[in-house]
Amino acid sequence: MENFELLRNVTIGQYIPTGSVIHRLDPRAKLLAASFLILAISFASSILANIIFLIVILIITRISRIDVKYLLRGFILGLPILIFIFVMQFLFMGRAEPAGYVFFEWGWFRITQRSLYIMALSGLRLLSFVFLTSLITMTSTTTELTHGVEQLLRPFRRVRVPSHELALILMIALRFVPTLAEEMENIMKAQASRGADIGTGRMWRPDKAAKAYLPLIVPLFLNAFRRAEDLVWAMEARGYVGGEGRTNFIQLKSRGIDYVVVIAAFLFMIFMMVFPWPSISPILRQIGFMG
Amino acid sequence: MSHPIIRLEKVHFSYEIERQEPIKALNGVDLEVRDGEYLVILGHNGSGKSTLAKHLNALLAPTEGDVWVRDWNTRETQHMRDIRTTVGMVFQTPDNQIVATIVEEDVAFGPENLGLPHDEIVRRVDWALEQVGMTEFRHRAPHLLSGGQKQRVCIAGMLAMRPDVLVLDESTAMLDPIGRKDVLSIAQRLNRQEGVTIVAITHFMEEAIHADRVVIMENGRIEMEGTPREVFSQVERLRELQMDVPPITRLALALHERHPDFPAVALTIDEFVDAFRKRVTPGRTTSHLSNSDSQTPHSGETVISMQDVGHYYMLDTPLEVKAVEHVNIDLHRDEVLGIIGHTGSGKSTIIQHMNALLKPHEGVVQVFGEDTTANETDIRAIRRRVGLAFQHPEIQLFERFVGDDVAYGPRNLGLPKEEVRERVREAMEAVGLGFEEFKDRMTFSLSGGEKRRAALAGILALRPEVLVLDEPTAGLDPVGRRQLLELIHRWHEKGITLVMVSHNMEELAEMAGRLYVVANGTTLMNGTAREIFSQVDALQAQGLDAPTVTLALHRLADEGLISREQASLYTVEAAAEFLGGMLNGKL
Amino acid sequence: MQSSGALSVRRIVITGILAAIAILLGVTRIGFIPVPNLSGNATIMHVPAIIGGVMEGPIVGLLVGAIFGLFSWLQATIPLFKDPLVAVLPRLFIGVTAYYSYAALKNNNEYLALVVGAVIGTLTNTVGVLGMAVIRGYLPLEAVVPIIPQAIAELIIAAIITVAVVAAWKRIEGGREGSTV
Repeated sequence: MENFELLRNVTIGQYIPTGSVIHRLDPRAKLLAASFLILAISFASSILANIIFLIVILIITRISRIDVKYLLRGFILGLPILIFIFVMQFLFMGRAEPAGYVFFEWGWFRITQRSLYIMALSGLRLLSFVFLTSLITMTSTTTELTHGVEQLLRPFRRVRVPSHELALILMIALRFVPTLAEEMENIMKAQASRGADIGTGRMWRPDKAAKAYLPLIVPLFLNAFRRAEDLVWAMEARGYVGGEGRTNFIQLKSRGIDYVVVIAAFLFMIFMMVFPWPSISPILRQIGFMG
Repeated sequence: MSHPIIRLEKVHFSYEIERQEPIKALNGVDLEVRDGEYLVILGHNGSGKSTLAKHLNALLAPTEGDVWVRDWNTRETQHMRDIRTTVGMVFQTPDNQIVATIVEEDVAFGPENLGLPHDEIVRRVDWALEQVGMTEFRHRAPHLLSGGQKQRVCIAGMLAMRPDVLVLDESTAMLDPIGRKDVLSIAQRLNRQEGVTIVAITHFMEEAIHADRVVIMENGRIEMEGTPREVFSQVERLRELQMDVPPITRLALALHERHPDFPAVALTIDEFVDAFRKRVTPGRTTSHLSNSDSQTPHSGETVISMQDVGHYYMLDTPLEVKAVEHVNIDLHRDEVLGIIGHTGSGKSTIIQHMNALLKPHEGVVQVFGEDTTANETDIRAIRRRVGLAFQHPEIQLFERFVGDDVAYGPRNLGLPKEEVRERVREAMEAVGLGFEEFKDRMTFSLSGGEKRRAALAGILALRPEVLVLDEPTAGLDPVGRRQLLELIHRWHEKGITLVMVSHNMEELAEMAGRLYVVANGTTLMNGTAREIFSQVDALQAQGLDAPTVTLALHRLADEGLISREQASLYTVEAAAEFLGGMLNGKL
Repeated sequence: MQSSGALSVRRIVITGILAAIAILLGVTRIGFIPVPNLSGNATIMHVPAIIGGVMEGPIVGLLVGAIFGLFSWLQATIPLFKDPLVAVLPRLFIGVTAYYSYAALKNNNEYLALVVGAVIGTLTNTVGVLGMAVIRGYLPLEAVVPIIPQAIAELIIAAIITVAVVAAWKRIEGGREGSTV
């Protein structure tokens, strides 16, 4: 525990203000379009479709005027785990049935059409997600997203979706991250001044590891609860009685382009879901790859 | 001015606590708040003043008796919204009142709750931010503001609801002197220019001098009531109630005792200077300066030396900021060293070098002769020998029982059980928490002052040779403050070298032999307390002040009544002795 | 004064603050306790969701879990957590299962109930996340085996922290009567 100061500068996301069209979209449009894209990526099982997603994301990145190297940074950080996943899949996925064409077999180890397909699919899909999440945090501020969530969910209040409360919770969370981070830094320094030596070296017994962390974690929670009690008083003093009858200071305005983006994203999702994607194996077979 | 806007009639209130007897906080309070007045409610912790405050806007309803806001009884929930918009309230800790991640959105929170139309919200937000002078910060994130600025945002948030009454519930307690001054002047201006009724709850008596009316609470009752002059003239009674009389009032009284012709009450420096001028002719500066410094500078061995120290935050990143530079400090064994500077001056960065929590990026820090950046230096040994207590050290408490929490440090040293016990006993006694009585008490059920002392015991248990205290009395009431200063004094007598960081000049004047002034990330001046306090102009240029007594003497010197040299006294006793001699010499 | 519905002002605030802790644990290193195992760390980022569940009920637990999941999805550097079905979905249930297992036992022995709540909540996280990773085809079942020691470490750590925090805040009686000095 020698470097304490990184805490003070915690940042959530990596907003890069380039002022592009994407940045200036109505947050509701951004959220909706992103949701459609996420849904589409989550459930597309075709290799070809996933390649198209990756290309679309790169095009959006281009429009956002964000350097692709920022996206790659997230990818490189995750590379060791990605390699672990690949190794595991390479070793064990060969036994999954139906295996399809078997390229190689040695004892229990096999390389099959299916194992290669799974590796390619998960690689492409995770890459899309890595890029997409980075893109979301680079083109929208957290405050913007909070407002987007509230106003997007507002029509659902009638079916008892507490849109305002959810947004308020999100806002309070974001509001207190830096405050609690600073407090955490102070707690760490105070315990270090009392001879604590937390976080250096590994402990073999998890119970000992946990107990070593209690001097940081317990005060963090308890001080946070105390703040919560204060905040309840303060909110009530400011006339807060829940979401009913509240008005909004922030007014989101949709322009034509916002509608275009949402509709385009929706149609793209539908198209990607219903299109009869050819399996990639017949193509490979055609070019003589699979004998 | 006379029409009551809030009426409390025989109000009793008890806190219900699970598995325990209810605690009685209010014990029959009758009080009227008049339209347009500036009312100050004084009392120390536990006197019931904050409970009283929460009755003013129906956050609490009385167990017995009634509270009326205009014509609404606060028990009637259907008038809740009317009551909350009539009586606004700002609390102690600014951080815990701000809801939104952007200043203007936070100010809008109240009006949004009221369901006001958008245009009206915008108008009110603009107006409220203007009132507290925070317009230029409207798009900032609150956590990037200073404490005083945050509190101004909280006031704006209340103002945006257009209340008739603004209750400030210890809203200055957590602020540094600049922040406190800002908040007070905003309150005074709102009262005078906008006609807002102010109810300020505080334990700082100085904040009461501009009030129309002062109420003093004790044991859930109103013990005294009157204009500031009426109340402050009863010094004996105030002492019984353990209230801290402002230094200028004490000085006037001390002079009055030596020279009965001098008025017994003075509320402001102006008033004091006027009274003095009338009784002495200019140029008569015959009296001799009675004493020199009570504490002479030490020339003991140097235990900590900082030479030309610089430190950066986020070094080697695009966000790199220089926190301090060219810092030069020498700490000698057995002295009490004071460090003055306000929030953001770099003082907290500086003291963290003293136990190697931070290491210098430029220059050299030597602790007990060892360079803290050298590889062979045992950092843990340094942290054992130099104890560091942060501001509000009670945030470090984590064990269920007080004894275990105090034992955390010694146990980290791997000491045997007996030795740990001995050290815990010693440390707890040193902070005035009896070992047998307190060791098995639940940490989190202690009072605020007891928690502060338990946390300090946790540092003393390491038996440090040097103790660095950052604002040790911050947020304590006068009683707690006094007790703690006495304890600190005793630790020093037992041989602990002290470094005390404070922005309370009276406190430093009393405790420290030598002072360093820190501003803009560097050590600006150093010298004995007298040398430093005599440079009032230089201090004020940094937004700092000298002790009130020194300020008063400087005003006398400005008028040619005493010499500049004589104006450098800083304690009430020394000044009264000297000025009293002058007055009596004239007779 | 309570607002209508299950979300009182108090619950809104507590949920927000616990979510803030969850986010904080994720963006700093404190959420990862170094223990010897494959990934090198045991995570405690899910503990706020457990604490929210046992202290304030299933809705608070669910919401804290949702925000934790959302941010771990947006912020994670581990590609596995970039699939929202892996990162977000299982996290919704952490506080919910923790609450129900705690509620079932709390009248017998509150400490035991807290331990069980923490264990069940942590299992929900581990099994849920790994289960989704397997279902989604990212991990073969065999890859789960080397993760078991970490999962056990996380159970123990979560239980200790949950008990320490909740017992201190609610001032639960029982257990030790005094300090061990």
